[in-house]
Amino acid sequence: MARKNTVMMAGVTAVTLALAISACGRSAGSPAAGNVSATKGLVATTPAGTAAVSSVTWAVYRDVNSLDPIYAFDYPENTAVSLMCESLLRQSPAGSIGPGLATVSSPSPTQLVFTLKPGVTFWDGHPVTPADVVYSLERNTNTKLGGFYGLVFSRVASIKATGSSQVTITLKQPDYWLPGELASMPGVIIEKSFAQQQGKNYGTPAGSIMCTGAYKLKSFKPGTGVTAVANPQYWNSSVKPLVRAILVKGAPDISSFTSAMLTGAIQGSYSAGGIATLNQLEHSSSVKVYQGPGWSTDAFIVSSFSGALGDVRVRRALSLALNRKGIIDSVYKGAAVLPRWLSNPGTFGYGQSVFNAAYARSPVLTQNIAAARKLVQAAGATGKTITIGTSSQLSDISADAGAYQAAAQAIGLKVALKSVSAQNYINFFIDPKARQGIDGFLTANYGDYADPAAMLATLDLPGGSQNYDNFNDPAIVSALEQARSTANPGKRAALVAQAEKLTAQQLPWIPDVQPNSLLMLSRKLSGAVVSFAYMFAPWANSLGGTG
Amino acid sequence: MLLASLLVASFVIFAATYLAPGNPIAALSGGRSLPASSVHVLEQRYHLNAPFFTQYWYWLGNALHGNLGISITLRENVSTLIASRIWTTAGLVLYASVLILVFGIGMGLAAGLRPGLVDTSTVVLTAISAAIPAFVAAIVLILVFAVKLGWFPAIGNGTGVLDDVRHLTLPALSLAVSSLAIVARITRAAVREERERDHVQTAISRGIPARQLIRRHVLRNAAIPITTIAGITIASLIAVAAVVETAFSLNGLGAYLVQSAQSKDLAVVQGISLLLVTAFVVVNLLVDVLYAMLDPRVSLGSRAA
Amino acid sequence: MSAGIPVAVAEPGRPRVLIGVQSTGLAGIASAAVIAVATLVAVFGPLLARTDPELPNLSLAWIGPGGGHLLGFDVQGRDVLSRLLVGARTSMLGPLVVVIVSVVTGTGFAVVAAWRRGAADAVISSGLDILFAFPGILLAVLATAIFGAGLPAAAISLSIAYMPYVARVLRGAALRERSQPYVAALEVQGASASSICLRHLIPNILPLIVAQATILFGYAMVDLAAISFLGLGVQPPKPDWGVMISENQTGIVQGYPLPALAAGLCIVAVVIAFNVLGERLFERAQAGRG
Repeated sequence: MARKNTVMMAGVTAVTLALAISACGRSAGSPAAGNVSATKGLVATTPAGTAAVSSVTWAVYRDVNSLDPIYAFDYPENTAVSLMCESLLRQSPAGSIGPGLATVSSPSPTQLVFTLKPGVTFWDGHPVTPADVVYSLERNTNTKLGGFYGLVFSRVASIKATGSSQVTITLKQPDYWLPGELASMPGVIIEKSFAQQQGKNYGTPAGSIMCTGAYKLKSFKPGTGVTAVANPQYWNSSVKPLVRAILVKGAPDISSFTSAMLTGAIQGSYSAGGIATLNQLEHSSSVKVYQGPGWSTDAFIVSSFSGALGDVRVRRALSLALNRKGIIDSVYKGAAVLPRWLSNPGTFGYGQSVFNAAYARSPVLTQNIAAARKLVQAAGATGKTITIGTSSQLSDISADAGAYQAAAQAIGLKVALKSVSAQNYINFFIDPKARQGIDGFLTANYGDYADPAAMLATLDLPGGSQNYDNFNDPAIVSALEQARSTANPGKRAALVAQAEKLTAQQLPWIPDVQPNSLLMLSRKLSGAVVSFAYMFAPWANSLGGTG
Repeated sequence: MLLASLLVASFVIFAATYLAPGNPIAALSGGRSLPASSVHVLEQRYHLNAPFFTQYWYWLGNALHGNLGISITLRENVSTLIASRIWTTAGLVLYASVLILVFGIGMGLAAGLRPGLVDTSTVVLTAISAAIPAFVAAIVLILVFAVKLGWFPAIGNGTGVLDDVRHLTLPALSLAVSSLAIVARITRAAVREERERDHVQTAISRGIPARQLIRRHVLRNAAIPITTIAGITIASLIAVAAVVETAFSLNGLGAYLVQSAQSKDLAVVQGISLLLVTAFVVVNLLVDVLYAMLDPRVSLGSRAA
Repeated sequence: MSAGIPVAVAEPGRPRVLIGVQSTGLAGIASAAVIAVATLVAVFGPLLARTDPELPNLSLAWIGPGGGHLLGFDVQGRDVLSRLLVGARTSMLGPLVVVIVSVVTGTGFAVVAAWRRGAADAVISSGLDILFAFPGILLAVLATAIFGAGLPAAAISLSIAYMPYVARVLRGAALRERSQPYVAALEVQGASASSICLRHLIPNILPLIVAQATILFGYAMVDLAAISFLGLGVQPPKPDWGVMISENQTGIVQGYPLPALAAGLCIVAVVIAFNVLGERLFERAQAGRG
């Protein structure tokens, strides 16, 4: 009797072991990537949907935590706000800036005159007035509110209502970046009376929002998500939203997200970073993956120049030692390209010939460990420790951190990792306390509109929202400030290209790879925007069934 | 007695704010920089300038009224955050309990009443599954049933009741696996012990039909230890649910508790901890009551296990 | 198993709970062997590992077994076998600490309660009853929120959660010992309470203590691995069996289940071994008692 027990146990153990061993991994020769090529089939949009759909669940990498545009600086918040709200000007999927709620004219280099389109109304039927515009724009610079975009208005002298449907912005100096920003979160227009009534609760789960888009807010419940419903009274009668309700929900776990997409529990999502299961999604019969030109860059933000990374040689060494191919294969499964600059070439929204030429002249960032090691030795940094901020819950951030760890150790540096939860990762960006003790952290970063300067400004200019340790290179600053005042797009492009070239030499941020914009959509749906413009402009206005 | 446990537990949970390194504001903010206005709000809300026990009193009083403070990351009431997640956890624990009772007791009965192959295989199976932690069971079940066979979804909550049940099946199974084994073992042991008792043996030799015997004597007496272990196991599910919810990305209280602990959102941690400890105590209370009902010799509160 | 159900409760009149298989030499030997191997690996693991368990290499991610890497590579391209070998250290050390602390303190409380009886016993028993309200995982979560994630906080909180169970079991045994005639005889001879306890009482219940500790080790291992799996114990990228399951869970959906399964198997094997051994010791302790 007892012997039987033992024999049975042995049997069960053997079977289990066999199962486990047979569960092999991939073979050494095969690339982890699928047939996802970086250049094939890049599109900016998908064909418009044709059939009505009752509900769509849309995934973002974590739960949305605010619907107030002045606090929207990360993928989940942007996705939710751009779904429902509209800005003064609007970015097209291809990256050009055009009229949004208003048209703009420039009677002089220091004046921008916005004329509201006739008939634009909020969800409650009230017309959008110049007072609403002035209020919405000025919220950005109200220090009591602590919004993220104050600095984009740094050249603004005044914002005034100058007519029954006209607002004039007077500038201290010409500012050719401002229209791009006004086609993004800082330019989102909300209703003044509604917002004042809501007070502190505006945009929080405790309150509500009032915007103008084709989808309006139905509920905002943490844990459940943001539910938006079609707005039958949308002011633009040529747009008829086909989806009755869209739920924007946080799906931080990649396995869960993948299973949900494969089974149809989630019908769409944009990627905020690498998608480890891209192969499955690509080959699935229920999901289609679209790739568009990327506007974002995967990079290592150097948040402290007082440690080992204060020496530009060490930064260059780290960049030289990085295994970028490994990141492209294993994190992005092929859906990313090697960088030459910090900004993604997808952001060349104007002056393309100038940008492309300058880009082609710049060298691709390749790996050279021997040279990197020499640089570290020359800088006398061998044996020094760098601390990298990361989150073990965000798999691609974690993988990137691993790649930097490998790179640093290969060139004689020591690495410590400071890991925080997925919820808290955002604190590295906004809270100096969170950045204490680390030399840098990873990001998948982007500008507010299709211009390389949009992102560069935040890290290269003094006081920039992502300039964490007073990086100040006079040549770069002057190139960018000049670009901002330059009317001619070609000349502007040349100045920005110069700033990019210098940034790639000084490396206040180290570029990792440049991801393509990724849309994962149920095959039963079509019409969502593919390009990164989804972050700043309505992306579901053409979304509908393919039936 | 159990109420005293609850009171002390609530005190410990509250005192957590003071046990944390740094001052209470630092603890409640999870080490984040806060604007001065938020600091003021926290001071008012938690009466941080009052003496320690007064604060505890306020906190407890508020908790009893359903006011559990504010989440620092979401700037939302903890009670609201809990309410949206409680049904997932409750459903999961309930589903797992049903599985444990049905299969655990069922298997134990089968093994205890029929020696032989059924018994042997039960012993081996339970020996192995008792050692399988819930999260290991989770990944194996995901691999076999969700990925290879595609019978069940690998994650998430469902939409609507029937879909919810389908989504909760693998999680409930993971949760139930090791507890099921323990319950099966105890049931088997208890049933066997009762069967070997003198009065049962006598009755068998007197020719009384087996079924009647089983029902009247064996089961009745075996019910006591079975109830005890079932009760303890089910109460323990409340805490282990956190692991299963995390593995399956379920939107439940346990997973949320873990996330809040990692984000250092102390108010949420305190609120959910209080709720879970209360649930634990209540389940234990119910088991006590059941035990007293089953065994007339026992007076309430004297259950030794 | 987080209410910590070390149900080796053995009080008269209650069914004995045997969790493992019945007495054979073979199962016992196998268990002892597994435990021995695990202990050796825990001690010598870092020396045995051929590749750096913590150095990522994304180009090698998920590659299967072959070429000297018996278990292939994990999510960040690290050698799975090396990580298992090095990870044995925290996976075994954590439970060891928990067992030692909870058994020592539990024994202490149990003996004091049994010896003094009366008011002291009542106070201690009530205190223990109150502690029962805290499942181990909950305490660990609370500790993490207060002190930050990490193995020390988790181990200490589990020790606190397990202590009442140890004390409860040992109190009964200590009470029985205390009522033995030899104790009265020693008292009459003028021996002090502490010498009786330390020299006679505790050594006599030692088999039970050891059996309890062994079974507890299994539970502690499971609970600590769960806590690390949740991200509250050992922190990634440190190798630890619980952490490895969490890190590599994403591989299961992608078709690379080996890393996660391998770690899971290690945990299960060691826990079964401790359960079986603990059962064996428990039976001996019961049999030894008059």
